[in-house]
Amino acid sequence: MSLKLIQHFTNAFRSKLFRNLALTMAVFFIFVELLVLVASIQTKEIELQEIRTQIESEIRSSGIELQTLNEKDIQKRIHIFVRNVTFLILIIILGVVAGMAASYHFIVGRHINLLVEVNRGTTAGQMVHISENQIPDNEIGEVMKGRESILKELLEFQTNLEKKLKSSEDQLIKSAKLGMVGEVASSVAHDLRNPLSVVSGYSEYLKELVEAEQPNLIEIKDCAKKIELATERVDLLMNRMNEFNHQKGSVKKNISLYEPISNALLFLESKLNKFSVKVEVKDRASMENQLIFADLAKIEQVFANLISNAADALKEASNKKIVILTSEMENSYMIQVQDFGSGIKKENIESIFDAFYTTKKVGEGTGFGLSIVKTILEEHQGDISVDSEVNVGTTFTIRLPQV
Amino acid sequence: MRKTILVVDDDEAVRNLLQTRLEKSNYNVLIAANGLHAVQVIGTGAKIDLMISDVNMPGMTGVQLVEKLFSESKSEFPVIMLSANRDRDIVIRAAKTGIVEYILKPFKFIEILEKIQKYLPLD
Repeated sequence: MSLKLIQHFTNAFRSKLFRNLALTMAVFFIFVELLVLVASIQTKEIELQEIRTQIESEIRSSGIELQTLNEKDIQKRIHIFVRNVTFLILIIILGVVAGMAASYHFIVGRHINLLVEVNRGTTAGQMVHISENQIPDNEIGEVMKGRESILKELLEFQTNLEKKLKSSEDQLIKSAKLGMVGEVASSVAHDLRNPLSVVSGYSEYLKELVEAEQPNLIEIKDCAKKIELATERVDLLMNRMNEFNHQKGSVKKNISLYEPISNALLFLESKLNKFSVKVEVKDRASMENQLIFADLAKIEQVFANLISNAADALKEASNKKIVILTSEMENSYMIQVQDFGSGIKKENIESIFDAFYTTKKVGEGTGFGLSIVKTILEEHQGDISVDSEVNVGTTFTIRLPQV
Repeated sequence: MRKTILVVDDDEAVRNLLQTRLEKSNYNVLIAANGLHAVQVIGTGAKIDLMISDVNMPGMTGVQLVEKLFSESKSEFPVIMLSANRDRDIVIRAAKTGIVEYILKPFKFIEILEKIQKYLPLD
């Protein structure tokens, strides 16, 4: 209790405002007291002098031999009197100062201390609030209420801003995905021409068969079947594009590592065919058992980006092969997408994950692919790194936490 | 004596269509699913009178295949390219190899047949 009291006092003395106030008041107090003291001493001296003269004259008139009162004795008494008075005044001053400190602390100091404390926390980056029962019913309380309402508004503003940021980020991811669909569309269009050729070839043939003198029904049926299969293939090709672009809702759930990879490969099949690129997925069986907690649509976008980039890097390569492999490390899966293509120049490697950065020709790349890959992986508490050598190849390594 | 045509395409349906129709048109047909496979077929020494090849195939593309065949002068037969690839650079590169035709997919079989008959008149 007394320790707490001392703490309260030291707290009061820590306040610059209080120190100045107390010092000024104390100086003023002492000055006034001294004036009063000097005045009272002078009055006493005059009174004493008068009494002395009176006594002396009375003694003389009574005819007694006068022995003069000792001056020094009087001086000594006066000194004792002054000392006692000064001591008393000092005690009074100390009492007043202590009283002031206590009342300052209980009325103002502790609330200001609280304000300073929470504000320090807030400046350090945490939103520190003052609870309802800590707010006093006075002017400082008003300041506190004002602070709390500003803080509340600020928080709401921040939450809104974060929401907007998230939604524009999601929008960007969606647009980039659509962009990929557009890019792959030309390869799909290329692929569609095979089944179209088949449809056209068998339709011509069908006409010939029907026009024959003795139509061969088995052959006719076979022709029709082939046309049907070709149209199914057209449908499948279109569906893959739709499937990839379709927003499956941003829901995270447990999925196997193989699922997004195989979806990306299906989506990119036409492009990979067009570029004559082979993709080798090593140890597919274990990938099917490796679980991650993820948004499937987004993770397949990550793989589609990396595989598509690797295919682009293989344009001029002799070994048109992409290898995908996984390993485990400290509660994470490491997935590598490896190509033996043109590689990335040293001076470009630091910028490849930056938005708007691209070394592709106008119309070939948006400069968003890898920055979006990075954003998506960060959303999944994962990350990505790259290792590349010009004309040797590039390896992107993704880390994703295990379930 | 029937003439032999080698059909190289990674698309099974296209291969089957060409095989069925060419055989109906009195040609012998050999098939290969990609460039490397075609090299093997040619390597067996089979007599080939004409080759129809796709361009975009895994492993070895049609253009790489023709470049290889012509540079090694292993084959004298005419080559017809059959591709959906409209990429200017690819078409020019294919033309430079010495192929006789570049037919775009989707194709009409009759169109191919006409070209074939130009180079391989039926006896």
